[in-house]
Amino acid sequence: MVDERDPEETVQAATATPRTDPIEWLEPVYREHSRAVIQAAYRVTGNAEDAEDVLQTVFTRLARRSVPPDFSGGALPYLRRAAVNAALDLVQSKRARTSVPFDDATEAVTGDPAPPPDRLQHGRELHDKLREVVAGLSRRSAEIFTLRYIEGLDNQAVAAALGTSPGTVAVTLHRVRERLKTEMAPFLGGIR
Amino acid sequence: MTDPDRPTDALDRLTAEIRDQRLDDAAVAAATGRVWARLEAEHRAHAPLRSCADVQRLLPAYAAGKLDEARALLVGDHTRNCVPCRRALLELKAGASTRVTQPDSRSVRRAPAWLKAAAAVLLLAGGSAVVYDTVADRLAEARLTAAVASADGSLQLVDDNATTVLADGATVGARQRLRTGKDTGAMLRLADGSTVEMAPRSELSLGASRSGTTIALARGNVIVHAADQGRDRLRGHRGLPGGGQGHHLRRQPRPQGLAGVGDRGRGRGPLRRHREPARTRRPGHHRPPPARGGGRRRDRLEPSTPTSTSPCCASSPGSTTTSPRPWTSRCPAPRPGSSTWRPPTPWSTSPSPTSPTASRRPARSSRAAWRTARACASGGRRDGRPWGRHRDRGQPRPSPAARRRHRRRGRGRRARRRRQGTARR
Repeated sequence: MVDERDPEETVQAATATPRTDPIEWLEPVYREHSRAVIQAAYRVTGNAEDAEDVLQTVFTRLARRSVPPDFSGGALPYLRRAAVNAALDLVQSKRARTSVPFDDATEAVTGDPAPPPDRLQHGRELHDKLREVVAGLSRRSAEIFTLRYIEGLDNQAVAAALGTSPGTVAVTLHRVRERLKTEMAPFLGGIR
Repeated sequence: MTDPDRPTDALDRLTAEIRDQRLDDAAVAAATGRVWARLEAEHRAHAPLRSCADVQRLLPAYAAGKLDEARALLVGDHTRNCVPCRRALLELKAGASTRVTQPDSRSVRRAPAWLKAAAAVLLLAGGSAVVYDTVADRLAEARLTAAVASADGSLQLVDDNATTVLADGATVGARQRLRTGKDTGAMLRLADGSTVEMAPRSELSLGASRSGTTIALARGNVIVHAADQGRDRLRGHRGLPGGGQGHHLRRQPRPQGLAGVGDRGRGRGPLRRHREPARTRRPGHHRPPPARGGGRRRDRLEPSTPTSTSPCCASSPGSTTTSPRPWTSRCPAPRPGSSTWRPPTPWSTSPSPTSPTASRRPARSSRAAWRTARACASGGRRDGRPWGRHRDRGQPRPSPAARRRHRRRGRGRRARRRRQGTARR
């Protein structure tokens, strides 16, 4: 029998009454939003294995909570933000170790259909460079930039997710873009 | 139009490319499945220990040393404080040790042959004694017969299926229940000459064994006049249960083998003991009826001494008086003044207080019976105790010194009131 309720309502109903066993209330949340979480993690990390690690980190932190978090505003924004933060943590830690992630998920990338190999390699390098520069930002700035330009949320949604005003989000985005343009100029052609 | 060579347009293009990156569904499904499996495993391994059942589930891994350090600390601390979990852990370890060290069959010590033979002889002797006792008891029961000497009214032989009215001369065997009606008295005569007089509303059955005859009184009262059994039976009665070596039998030249069993649970009077404990012997006072709920009691009866279960018809030493209907004649139920009342005839040889010689005090040896008879004759209380101020209150009678002191104080009070002019009228 098909459950015709909205998945978000199902998750809220599952988390409305805290149960003694966290795995019980966590299971419907995982079933509904694990795909969105791992895709967001993959966009930030650019690595399938790292995305899987991020997915496990997010839900392990949830399972260790004595009470379920407040999903009144929806589980997906909460989980997306948690995934972005966990992914940024992972990328920052790798950047601190000066290690270069090897993107072996070429076959999994479905962005540009059949780009030229040189262009594809150049694009990967640019993507990795952009991720590295974003990871070098402050946590707040990196989070706002990722939610706005990587996850595609508008300023209102980002402000609501972070609990701040849209003007603050806009100002932060402007400063981040200026910094990124400066740092990415050698790779994007034309040095100002 | 966006120019890819412009940094702003290139940044937007890069972010758009990253935003469009997707993992394929197969990779996502595999990754989410693996992550969920790891989550469940981690949850099981690090589940909070909320009860002893959670701890006892980890005991095998704890005993095997497979738990991580944190979990082992938790489990070890709990087993030191919780007795059931510690016992479970010890049993687990003991089971493991017994599995490791199997006993060697060659090390089992075998009993010597002479010990086995001695045990067999003892078992054979014990079995023979049991068989002999059983057969002897059965033969004694088969020999037991009693005849209805007289029945004033309806004497019934009660069976599980029917009730039969017995007439004079009817024969009764062992383990047969006899019951008297409301106004019925009956006398049974046993084969050895002993007589059992049944009061109205009484029920008994006779039993026999190699140690003697037994009267099992279910309810009511009986008067038993035991016959002389002969000297030969004396040896057979030694060591009876409840009689010890028969110390009270030795004082009698020819004790008999009739024993009565009274039911104390009905609240009626049991068979009187021939000898009361010293602390309960109080001359002139009736012994109070036993408390309810007592167990069965077995008393040895004396020959030539009627023994009754009724407190109003207590036995008195030296009496040999019997009559065909002693129950109604010796213990009259009607009160003084009624048309059917008759002066009591106590078993004591002392005169009755209602007789013309009532002013004479009875002999000290029969004073208790005399007071009992007086209580019965004067319509005493139901339990046979005489009416009286202290008796009614359940208090002991004051000593003579206390009574003299009470009178002296009364005289003093009256003299004081006379002097003060406040004498009561």
